[in-house]
Amino acid sequence: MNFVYPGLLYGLVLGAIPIIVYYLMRFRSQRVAWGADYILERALARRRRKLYWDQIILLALRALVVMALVAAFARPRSRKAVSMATDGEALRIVLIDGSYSMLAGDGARTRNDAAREAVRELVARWGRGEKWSLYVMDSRPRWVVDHADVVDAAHSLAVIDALQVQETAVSLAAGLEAVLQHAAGQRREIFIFADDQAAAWEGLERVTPAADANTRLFWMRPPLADRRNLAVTRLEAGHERVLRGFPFSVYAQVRNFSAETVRDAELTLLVDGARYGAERVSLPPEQSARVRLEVRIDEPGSHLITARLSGDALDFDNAMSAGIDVSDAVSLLVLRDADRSGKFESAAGFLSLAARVLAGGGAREATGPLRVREHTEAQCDVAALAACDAVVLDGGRTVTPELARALRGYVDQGGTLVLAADDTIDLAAWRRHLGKAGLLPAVPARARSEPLGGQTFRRLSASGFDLPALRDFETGAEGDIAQVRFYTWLEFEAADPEAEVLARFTDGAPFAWRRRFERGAVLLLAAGLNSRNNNLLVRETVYPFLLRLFAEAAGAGQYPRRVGRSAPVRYMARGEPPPVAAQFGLEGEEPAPAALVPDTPGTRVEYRPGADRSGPASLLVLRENSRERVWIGVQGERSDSSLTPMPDAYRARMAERFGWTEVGSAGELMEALEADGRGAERYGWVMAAALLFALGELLMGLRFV
Amino acid sequence: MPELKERGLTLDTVLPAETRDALRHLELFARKKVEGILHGAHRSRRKGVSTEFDHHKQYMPGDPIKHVDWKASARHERYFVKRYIEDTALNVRLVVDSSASHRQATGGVSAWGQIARIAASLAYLVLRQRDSVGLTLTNAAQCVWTSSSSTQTQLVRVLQALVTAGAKASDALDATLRSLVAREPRRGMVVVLSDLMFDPQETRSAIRALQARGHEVLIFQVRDPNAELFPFNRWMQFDSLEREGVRWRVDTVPLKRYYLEEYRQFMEEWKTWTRKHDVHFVTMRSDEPVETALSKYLALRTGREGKK
Repeated sequence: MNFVYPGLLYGLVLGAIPIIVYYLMRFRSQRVAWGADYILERALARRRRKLYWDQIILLALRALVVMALVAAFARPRSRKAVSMATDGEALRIVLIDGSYSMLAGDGARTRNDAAREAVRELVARWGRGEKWSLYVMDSRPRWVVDHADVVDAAHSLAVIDALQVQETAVSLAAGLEAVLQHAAGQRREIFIFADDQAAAWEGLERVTPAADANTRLFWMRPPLADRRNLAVTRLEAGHERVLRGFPFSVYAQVRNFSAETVRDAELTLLVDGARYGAERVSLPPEQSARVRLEVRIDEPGSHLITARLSGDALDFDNAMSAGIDVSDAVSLLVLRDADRSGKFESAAGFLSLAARVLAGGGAREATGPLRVREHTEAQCDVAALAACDAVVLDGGRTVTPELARALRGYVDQGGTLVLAADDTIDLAAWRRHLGKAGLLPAVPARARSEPLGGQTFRRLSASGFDLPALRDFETGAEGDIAQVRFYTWLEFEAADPEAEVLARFTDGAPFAWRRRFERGAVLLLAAGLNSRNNNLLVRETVYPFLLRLFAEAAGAGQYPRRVGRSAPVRYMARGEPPPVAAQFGLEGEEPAPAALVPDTPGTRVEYRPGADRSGPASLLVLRENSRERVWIGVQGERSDSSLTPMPDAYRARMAERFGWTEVGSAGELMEALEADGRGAERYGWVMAAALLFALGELLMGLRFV
Repeated sequence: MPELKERGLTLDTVLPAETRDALRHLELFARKKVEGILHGAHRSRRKGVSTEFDHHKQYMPGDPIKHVDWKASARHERYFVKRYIEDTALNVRLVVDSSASHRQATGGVSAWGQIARIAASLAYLVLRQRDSVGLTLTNAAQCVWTSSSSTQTQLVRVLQALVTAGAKASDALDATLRSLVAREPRRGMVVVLSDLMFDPQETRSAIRALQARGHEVLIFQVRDPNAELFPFNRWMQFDSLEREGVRWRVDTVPLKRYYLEEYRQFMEEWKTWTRKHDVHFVTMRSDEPVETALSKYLALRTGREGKK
């Protein structure tokens, strides 16, 4: 039994009025001097017990009359009303919104919690044998239950409890259309448990409403007071290969999904779970911002970075994670013909010098960020090349078809090839062999060489970098980088459509091209690194720029540490001993075994299904005597973050069109059901009871007359 | 104890002139043979000088010769003596219950006032026909005896006793009636005036004892209208007049029915009992005119006797 106006039940205390009146009258009794004691005593003595019970019954009846009247005004309804609403013969269709916007809420209670509570309360009232269907709107809208008999409430509840909110956007209009077409013509009760997201309900006006009078539609729309919602839509490191001890940028994309401006929201960056830094974000409605945070990590290895926004209505989209591999150094292998042993006949001489400078001295070269080795053997197989991060090919190495094939194989296995066109380049061989191998991002037209120290030269531009990792070097046209002069350079006639220019000369001509392949990459420098026709040796400030350039180029071979939802997760496990097992784990979920695929230059660890939701994940790679954890950030689309509600006028129009009854809670749903139900109200019964009690009281009273 | 609105009794109010006028033509005769000291209008138990023949008795030595019925003796050839009924004066003892319950008043008229008026009227009536009357005022606290007399000053004494006495304490009627058996050896008339609101068993046995001694007992009951009708319909606190500190707080609505049943049964018991034991039972309300009630009763009494 429940009540339409439960607040009136406080009036039940009025049932005490007859008792109060009884005592009031008793204490306000009139005094009379009495002589007929004998008769009075006789009457009292013989009927004392009867009088006592008469009084009790009379008082009880009077109290019951008052209480029954109060209960009648509170409009009681039977608990069975839900079943009786359509005589228990209707098909119950439940539509549940399984998109993550249902996780929006005020405080600890989400809309999903409210909806589930209402569903539970609803289902708990259904009787055995009644028919019901369940349609779930998530990434795969489907009928979970189709015209099934209710076995018992617990079974139905178990089915509903098994449903999880998913990181997806849904079209509730399509869902409504599906349920309206389900069992059309039958007596139906359709219960929609969904939010009022304008985007999700888009196209509702095109849905044909049920034409029959047998359909009753209830929309349980949990209220949401605060609709402010910022979301982190993307998180990435600015560098493709991060070197330990070198600062790098982390970019967090933040979007305001609400219809009002959000001011001073705090965006916190966490590195390996510890707070690293924070920025304040203010955003107008439907606007995005790219927030840059400077990070430096001194420990090489895999790290997890997470950007988290301060709390708002929807907490689900407030955090995003990405994995970062911090390298100890970039190792370069310079290919050189054995007979070209002059110090500056290949790039090795200059690069070794740069490595020493970057390491802070010759003694520290072995631990510096740039490691340079030379390969002078005629034979050059892929296995030999794969041991380094990038292979440098310049004019110091004779290019043969075999070398070109080997280099192509190296690139295809994820290697990075740096082509540095110096003054000794055999341009024809490059074009012929490297071009045939598809290793030229741009086709060199000619090599131009000017006298060293002359007036004609080219300088690097210190602005307009497309690569985020290089933007740190944007110091203006007269910056340090711009002081480098090249007296020999390549001019290009055509470029691979997939090639990109990473750096340019001050006249706009490309300096560095990059062509990404499926796994590897080729970096083509329009000027050489052998220091014979440039002033690189005296411009040490450009060394970090080159290091960053090589690092970025070398980073191409890595599998990404930031993957989309349901995207395969991969990691190349290098080194010995090879992995024996691997697991993929998403935060908060049970880990799953990952596949180990032998590959070059190591073993590929692979988890093909990927993660079904955003969040920090990791691959745990087990070797015989060690284990390694590789962090990966799963970054899904923020497709359901908008909390902008349907306009009220539109909602009212649609309510009229579909004839739905809107409710905001489980209680309201029950009330709506009962208010709409036939024979649900027990007002008449309670009034009848009140009349019965009143009649009883009257009859009791008449006995005394 | 609440203050009662009892009208003050005076010699004039207890027996006003109009009552005396109304009672002037009425007579109270004893229904039974009585034993008076003086010659009077009532039949005596003793056979003596009178004009009314009773029966013949065989002559025994010592009988007065003048009472020999010579005609009857000649007819039966034996001597017979004529016996006559002796007329004697009636001795009426008014036993007035003066317990506090009589102070109950309705509409300013108390039961006590009514009882006093009845007693005064009866005393007036008895003394007017030259019989003697005595008064006993009885309650648990005291018992006032006024000796019987037929003098005209007796009426004044009776009236004064009634006026000066007040209703107080509880009932002691049964004890008084029992003592009356010893104190009134001669047959007469005992008039009990009371509201009878007590346990009747003892009183009835005392009355039976008086009857056994040859007294004619007459009961005048005065009913208080409130006690009779119980006209209450709310919570009432009944403060006992006879017992200090005793009170009942009751809802009279459900009680009324039971009370009236009890009252009716109580009255019925008295009527049945008095009828069975040949006791005249006169009941009247405290607001009823005394002379009317008495006239009715005396007329009824005379009529009955006449029929007999």
